Amino acid sequence: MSYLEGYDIVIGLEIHAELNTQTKVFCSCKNEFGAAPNSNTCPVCTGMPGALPILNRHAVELAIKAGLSFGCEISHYSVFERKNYFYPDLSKAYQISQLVYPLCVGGAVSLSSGKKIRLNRIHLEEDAGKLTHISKAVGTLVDYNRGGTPLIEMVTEPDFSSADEAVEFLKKVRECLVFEDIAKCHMEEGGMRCDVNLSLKPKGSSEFGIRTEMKNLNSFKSVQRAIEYEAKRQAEVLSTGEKIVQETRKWNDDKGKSTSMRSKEQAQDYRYFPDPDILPLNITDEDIERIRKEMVMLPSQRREIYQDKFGLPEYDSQILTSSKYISDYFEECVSYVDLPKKISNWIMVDLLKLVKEQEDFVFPISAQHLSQIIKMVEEKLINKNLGLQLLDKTIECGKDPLALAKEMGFLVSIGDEEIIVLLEKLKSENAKVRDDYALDPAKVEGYIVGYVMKNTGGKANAGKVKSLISKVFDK
Amino acid sequence: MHLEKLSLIEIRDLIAGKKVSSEEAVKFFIRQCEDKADLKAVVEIFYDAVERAKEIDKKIKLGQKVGVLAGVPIAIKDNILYKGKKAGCASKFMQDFIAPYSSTVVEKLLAEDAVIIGRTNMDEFAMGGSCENSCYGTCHNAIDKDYVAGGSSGGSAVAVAAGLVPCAIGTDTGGSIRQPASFNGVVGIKSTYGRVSRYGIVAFASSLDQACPIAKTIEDCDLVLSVIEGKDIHDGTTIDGRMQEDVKPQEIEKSCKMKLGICRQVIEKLKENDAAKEGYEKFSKALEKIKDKFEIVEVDIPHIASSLACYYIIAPAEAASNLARFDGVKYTKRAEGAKDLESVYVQSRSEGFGKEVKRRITLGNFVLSSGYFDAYYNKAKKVQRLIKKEFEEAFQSCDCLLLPTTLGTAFKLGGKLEDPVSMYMEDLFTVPANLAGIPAISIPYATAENGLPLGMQFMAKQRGEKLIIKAAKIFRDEIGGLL
Amino acid sequence: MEKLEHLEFLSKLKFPEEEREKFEQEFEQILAFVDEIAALDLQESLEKDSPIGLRQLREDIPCQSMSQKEVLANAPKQKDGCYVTPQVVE
Repeated sequence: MSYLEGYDIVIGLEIHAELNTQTKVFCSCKNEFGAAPNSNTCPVCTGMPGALPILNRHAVELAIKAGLSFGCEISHYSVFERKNYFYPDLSKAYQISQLVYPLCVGGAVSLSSGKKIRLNRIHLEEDAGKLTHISKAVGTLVDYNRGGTPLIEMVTEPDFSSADEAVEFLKKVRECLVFEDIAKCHMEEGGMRCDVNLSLKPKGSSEFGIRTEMKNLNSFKSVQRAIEYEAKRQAEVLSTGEKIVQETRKWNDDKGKSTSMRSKEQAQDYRYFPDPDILPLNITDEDIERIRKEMVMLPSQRREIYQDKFGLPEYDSQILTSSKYISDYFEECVSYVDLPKKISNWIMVDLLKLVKEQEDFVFPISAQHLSQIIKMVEEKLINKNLGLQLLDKTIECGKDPLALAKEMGFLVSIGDEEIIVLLEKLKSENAKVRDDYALDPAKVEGYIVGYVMKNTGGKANAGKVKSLISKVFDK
Repeated sequence: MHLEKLSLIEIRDLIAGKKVSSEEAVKFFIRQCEDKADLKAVVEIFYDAVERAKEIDKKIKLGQKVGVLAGVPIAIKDNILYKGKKAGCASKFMQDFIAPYSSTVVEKLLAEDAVIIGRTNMDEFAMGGSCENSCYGTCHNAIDKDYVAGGSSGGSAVAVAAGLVPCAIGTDTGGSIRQPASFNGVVGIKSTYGRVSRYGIVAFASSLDQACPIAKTIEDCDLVLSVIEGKDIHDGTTIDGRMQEDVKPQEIEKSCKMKLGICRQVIEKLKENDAAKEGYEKFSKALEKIKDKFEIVEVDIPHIASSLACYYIIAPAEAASNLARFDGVKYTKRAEGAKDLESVYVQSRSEGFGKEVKRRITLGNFVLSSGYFDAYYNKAKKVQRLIKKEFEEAFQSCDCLLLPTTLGTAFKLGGKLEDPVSMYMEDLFTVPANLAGIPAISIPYATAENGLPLGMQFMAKQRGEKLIIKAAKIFRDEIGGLL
Repeated sequence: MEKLEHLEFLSKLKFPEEEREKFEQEFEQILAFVDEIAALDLQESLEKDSPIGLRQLREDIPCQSMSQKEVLANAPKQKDGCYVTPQVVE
């Protein structure tokens, strides 16, 4: 880091996230990953002559939700513009995006240090298609399945001063987008990508240096490494007295370095202008309030409640808020049985292992049924082992656990007589227990209950057993 | 039977009354197209239309319910998509393009049992005012072959005027329906922007384009427009409501005279322009004839004369962007020998597009480019809004505006090819309606010394189609019918 | 005119040598004609077009897409269900 002494790093991020909609942003083709090439396409997203874009309301609502999550101001007047340039992944030779009147303006995200990262804007735009470079002889293949899928672009102010800050910010943003069902943010599929703008300035100076841009980083690790590499590279260049060239650089994750992209012969001029096919949009206060009401409590808020009100350890609250689904499931269980820690244990130990490695999973048992089982175990109607068996059975046939427990004979209660016979058998056969009991009844209570349970296949009511111990042993 | 002399409604009624079958009518007009192929008005005849006509005849015979255009032959401009048929936009670049889907206009015509019998010639990508910029060759004026057809919907106007088809759909971005209709002595209407869906019509200037009918009578245009109009889920700029309901009944049925506005700034232009000398005379005479039937008022639209310059900024800008998708990769011809991506783009486009199209793309990219955007494009949009507002104010004091469709009659072939600006002047009186998004109709009302017709134009406020139709009918009846 | 080269770049067009001079001349004429707009002095604020409401937008419900074959029917070159361009160098 010695090169970097004497410099402040100045970083701004542009984040693209694919919105979680059923259809594309300007046509009714499915928004889906992994279909056969050009099978989720239509005249609109392949840019056929005469085709016109029709804006997806849900995409707009999700972008507004993102804005509300990060405290942006939602624009009452919003305009879609054409960004014109030729490239094979862009079917119309323009991308529909927003420039002068974006949907969301301003906003901020707080880091754990308390530092605020300001947002400049969040706007809605369409994604480009996919290019596959085969060879010089064959050429490049163009697939428009991804073309026209909805993206939000979040642009921050240049408020970051380290890679750690940038990564913490990205994690926070991702957590929130996933939690609100705004975006899935599958980074390995390109569902969330990040451009990094970086420059150096002498410590304490108010003047910005010349910046470079690295595009389409799609993992937290590559963001971290790319920033560290680029800061060091710029410091080295500056230390030799040379100037930084304003350019776009391509990050190579395998080699751990970035290289200059072939500089374009002519400066790009995107000739933005309002898309005449899409009328400007008026978002009313009522619209914003309606959308705000649909929003859920954020993970950080939920964790606070889990720890303060439910007394859960931080570890538990982290895992339970790792997705909105788990968190909602947990809260539903708590509404049936007020045993947060027990529920947390069952979810973390017994349920999560069943859905390990799955994306978008649903637990194989309803929150209501799980709550019933937990209640039976806690009321000692059955022991934990039987509870687990009951869980498996409930998952298998989906029936009501109480009815199942009866059906399987778990709840056939053992009569007092039978318990007394067992207790007397123990008393007569085991002198040590007898003697220990005489000294301190509490000390052997657990053992005695266990004995009865073992000999009744767990079907005895532990409370009942306890109440009968003195009857037999005090005689 | 002289079907070529009859209006669309007359033909429709003959078919409905089983006096003529749709098959006979379709075959008759196909023969007309073949016989007058030298006009180059119809660039392809859809021979399978005969089969469709037979099906409709069967429906009529069986007494089944049929649409309001049952069995009537109609032609469409070469930029309107009809699934499975070519749509070439009169461009070398696109002449093998087969429409993979149908436009909403075509769907609506077919839903009312019309029979589409062919596609008509035009200026390439609807850019031009003479129908001379076409890969199929120049279309000739229906009345005098040495004169231009007008454009860009020249083929549609000539096809109707020469009796090749009773009605043809054109598109109008700056006058492309009304000017050729006027040049050939037929009726052409342009609806309120958003009245007719643009889905499936190859875009020229998206904020101005409208597809509408050209026919022999005002009633025919009214009927066909009522078929193709309507809100469309595939076009977000279409408006709600049908034209029948958009104007309050008392506005149409009122017993007192309609107020016709004469725009002072238009009169000034007519007076100062030598080419308009005869046009101005005829216009004044007509005005004299109708003064008892209408209340004539003078109105001001101070910036109406800036419409043309405004149009020649906005339309090319949108066109430059709309035509960027034609790149030799997806559906247009790829230049042979293009080795890398850049040359696929540059060579294909340079070989594919004609001169006028290239000129407008270049102009459009200039007015949008960094450093010029505010002075040209943004400023033109502001002027457009101002003009729109001035029209709204003018319609506070009149029901319709009355003005000539063009300065003069059709001009000689080749007459303006080398002078783009004088060609652009052809749109002087038609362009304002596109910029203001208002409806306008052109009807033939006089014959000039050279034997060619002149057109009169009516404009009304947005959604005021029924007003211009009513005014045009009163006017026609007063001057003793159309030509 | 260096302008023309930039406009050719933006337009992905190339005018042959013999046409350039005439084209530039005509282009200048047209510019002179539209310059009237640039010169206009507008008093009023005319910044915005009227908007539509959220309710007028499309519902997020999928419809049938086109078949791969239909989509590619007019393509000058195709392979494995894709359009083909000369190799794009990144």
